Amino acid sequence: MPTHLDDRARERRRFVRGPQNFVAGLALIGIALFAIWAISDLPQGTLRSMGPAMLPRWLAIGVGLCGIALAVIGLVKEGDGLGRSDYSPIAAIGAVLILSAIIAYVASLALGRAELGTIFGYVFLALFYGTVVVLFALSFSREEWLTATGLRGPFFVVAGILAFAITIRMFGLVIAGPLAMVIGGFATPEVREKEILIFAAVLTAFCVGLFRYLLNLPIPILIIPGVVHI
Amino acid sequence: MQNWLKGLVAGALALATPALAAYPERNITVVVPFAAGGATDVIARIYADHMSRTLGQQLVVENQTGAGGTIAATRVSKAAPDGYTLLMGNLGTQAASVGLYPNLAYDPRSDFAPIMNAAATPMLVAAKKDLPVKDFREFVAYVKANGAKLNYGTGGVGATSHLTCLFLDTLLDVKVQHVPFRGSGPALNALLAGQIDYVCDQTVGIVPQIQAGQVKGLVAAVKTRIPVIPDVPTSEEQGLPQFQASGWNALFAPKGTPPEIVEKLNAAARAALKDETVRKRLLDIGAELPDEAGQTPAALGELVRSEVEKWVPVIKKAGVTAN
Amino acid sequence: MTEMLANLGLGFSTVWKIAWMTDPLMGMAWPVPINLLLCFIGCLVGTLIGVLPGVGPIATIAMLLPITFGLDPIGALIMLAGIYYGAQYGGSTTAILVNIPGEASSVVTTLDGHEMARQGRAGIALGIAAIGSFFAGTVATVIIAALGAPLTKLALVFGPAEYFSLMVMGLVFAVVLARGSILRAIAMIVLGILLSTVGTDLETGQERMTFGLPFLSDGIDFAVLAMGLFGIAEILRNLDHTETRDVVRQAIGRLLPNKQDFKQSALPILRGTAIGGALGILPGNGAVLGPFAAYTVEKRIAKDPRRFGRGAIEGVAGPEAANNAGAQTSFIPLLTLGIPPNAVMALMVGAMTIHGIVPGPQVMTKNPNLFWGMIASMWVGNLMLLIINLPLVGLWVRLLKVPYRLMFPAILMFCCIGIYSINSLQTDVMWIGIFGVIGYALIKFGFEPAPLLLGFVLGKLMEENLRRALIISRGDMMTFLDRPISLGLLVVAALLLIIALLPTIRKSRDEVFVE
Repeated sequence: MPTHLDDRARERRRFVRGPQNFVAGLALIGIALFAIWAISDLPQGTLRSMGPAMLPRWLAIGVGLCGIALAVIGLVKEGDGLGRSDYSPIAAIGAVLILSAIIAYVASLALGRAELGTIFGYVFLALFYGTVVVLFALSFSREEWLTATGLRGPFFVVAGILAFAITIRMFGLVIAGPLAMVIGGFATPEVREKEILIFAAVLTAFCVGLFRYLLNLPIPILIIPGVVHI
Repeated sequence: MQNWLKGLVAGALALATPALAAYPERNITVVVPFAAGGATDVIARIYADHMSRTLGQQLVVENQTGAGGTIAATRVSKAAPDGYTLLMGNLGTQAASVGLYPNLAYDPRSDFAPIMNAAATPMLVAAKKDLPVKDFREFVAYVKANGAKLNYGTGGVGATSHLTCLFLDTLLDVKVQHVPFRGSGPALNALLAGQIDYVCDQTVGIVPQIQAGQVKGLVAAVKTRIPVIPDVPTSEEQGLPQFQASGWNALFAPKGTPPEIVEKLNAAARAALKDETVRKRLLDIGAELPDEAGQTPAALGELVRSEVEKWVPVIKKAGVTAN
Repeated sequence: MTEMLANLGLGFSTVWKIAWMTDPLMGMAWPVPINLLLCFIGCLVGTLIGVLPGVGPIATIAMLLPITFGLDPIGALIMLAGIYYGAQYGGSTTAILVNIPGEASSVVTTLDGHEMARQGRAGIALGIAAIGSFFAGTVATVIIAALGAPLTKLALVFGPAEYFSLMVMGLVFAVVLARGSILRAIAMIVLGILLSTVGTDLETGQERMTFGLPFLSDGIDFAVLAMGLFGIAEILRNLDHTETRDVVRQAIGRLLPNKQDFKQSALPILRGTAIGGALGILPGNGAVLGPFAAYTVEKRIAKDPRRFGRGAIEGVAGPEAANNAGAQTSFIPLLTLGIPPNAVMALMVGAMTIHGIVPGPQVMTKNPNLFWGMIASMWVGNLMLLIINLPLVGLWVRLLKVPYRLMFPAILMFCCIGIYSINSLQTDVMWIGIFGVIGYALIKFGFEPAPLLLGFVLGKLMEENLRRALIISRGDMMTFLDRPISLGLLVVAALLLIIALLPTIRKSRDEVFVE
């Protein structure tokens, strides 16, 4: 939650008086510019016969205007601040994304191949899970720092979801389900290793029965290449 | 812990071994590239139900929509050629896609092992109730005279209903305004309400409206009249014999699937088509069923090639592209 | 009137049909009310899949379709219909308990419903949702029976221009819906519409903002967006604050609504039923607007609008009634015209055709058993849902007592399985993670996800109908003002917007914001 404006903030007259509004406004402007760039190669058309880019462009301009207004309000009007735990997770994930993009770009140039997207995917996964492992190691020694920065939640939850997405077709629900639950489960410092393992096993068994056998959904259950395929 | 794991693997092996002898030893996935409930989906499910009994393993239908069905078709074209991942492709994914998607990741003519043509749904031209024409001949004259004022509705860019109207445009050498809808249902609703002038769509949705006299059934783009609507003449009777179009649906496996497996699947599909309930279900939705000669894998391969040759020029001429 | 009663009589006798079935053990024939049983099974399965986040009625009905091959068509359709409204019902439960709207229609329920759960009033919220839905379902059944055929004409009056104006009005509702600053709400709505334009352009077939990625070519899936922005973001937010989530499970409070709650909810339920029922008839999925409209009306006429978004019971009762009434009346275009208004109904068409019934204008005369049987089964189904759900309230509320350290991984897994089951796409699962982080960022920057989601839902319909109307009018903008219904809707939208933007009201809003 944004830290509400307190006396300290009022005493120190900052350049940006409402950081939350200001940053939110900048983010909207960024989104608007990105969208305008993304549709720049599409025909706008005229009002009489609208092209595919006309409405998105006007919408992007709308988002941008809202962003400018918010940013200006953030500059001139006292408002909510942003705490360290408010921005660090988003900044950290953004940093991983940008870093992967740079590495992938360099790598695709070096390899002389055009599969930028694929390389980006692998680099991102490697960096992201690398960060998760580092955070996991830190959780033993510097738990307060982890809690204060708020990095733990988002990284572990997203890591759990990604693990599910990657393994569901490869190994099936019996592997993907517990992976998602256990990795995700470490998102809270209250996690108890044994408890989450047992709970994940029980719940996965329940889900196999529920989704595959009761609801008849086509979800792979267990795949060990060449051995089992249920 | 280790013992427990060993036990699990051993148990799973024990379950799997007896079936190893012959295909199929596990569930077969039939990927339907469209949403559940549509013609392709219904046809796939009717077949899957019967083929499961013939093959002794479940054929599980999996709907995977996206990019006009080409996401699912791409997936199947790249799947292991072991007969466990099949595609219920159609005119759109296996022929028209070549013209619609310049960056198509597969070639329907060479990247699939055809199994069998499952069923086709004939295409019809139907006009709104108060369009001042009595039959298709008058309609042709009317469109040639008033083409610029008319609108036809379709289920979306590149949909079978769009392609058929484009084909008609090409044959009559006119350019009528296209109004795309999200699926054939909304287009039909607009036709009932008179917001558009005509549609060229599959029999499934239109037939009951023709029977109830809510829309005018003008022509069926097939060789013989359709039994459920015997009053609607064929294109040949109405002097436009080249106007032949049907939305076919067919079963495919990835390229490189062993011939024995293709043969086994083809036999199972043929058996389904011989079954009276299956036939009745398919005929009830207005489908045309392939004859004996049309039930071979080779016949399907030939169909794909001829349909690509037929539709790609129509699409190219109209300048339609889907990305 | 007598005709209607006779028809309903025919319907109920169909539902009560007794089949003699031989049991496999003793070989004796037993009387089984087969359709009633199928209705019950449908409602039960529907409730179950509705509660599971992501698993929608579409996937389930599709999967159960082959099982119904062996049944007679009426029984099969009664069961499938039961799944549909059961799922609508169950979806509200998830919205209230864990803040995940399964469908567009339950987005509104999260606003006050989940807030009530946080205050330990989950039981009351669930109870009033169940009772409100039952009432709405009953009224809607009577409306369909009495006016189904004439109401069909309304469906044909609405063309692209009218839909565009209706959606504009809906977007204005979204402004009113917002809790905090109007500027932020508008930013979110516009962003939502912008997101809805991602994907293949319906009119030209060109891809917009897809960056060549095939899984974006059909646009962003609503379930993916909603689950990310609401479900996953809610988990991330709760992980930040140990104190807020503990409130959810510490205080349990009363399980069922009391007299005072009923008094507060009675009128909202009536109004919600009327609004939802009317919008449900429109074939272009007008039913999605129902709950939003009902919420807006309740908030507008409330003595103290500030309670909304903070656990106001009217904000659950009205929209829930509207939701269920709309779910029911959306059968009208299907049954009388044979035209499916949404994806679930399209699937019902598929089911009917498989069973040899071709839906169309003649179903009513050709298959009166089926037509009136379906209508009667709707009421029976609603009654069953009440019977199934009221006892379950206690169970659901008790589920909230599961420690959060175990609950959120479970929600995580259910979300993953649910989203994968919709389209079998691994990328969809990844996207809920991405949208989860985006939703988390939105919360951190003080934005609300609800207006964004509403903009997303209505934006797509708005753009399509705008451009469709302009194609048909050959680019003449006057088409929106020439048509009386369209003009009327635009005038209402303009009035609402002016009221919302009036300085006096903005002032009171700022007070809310600061407080």
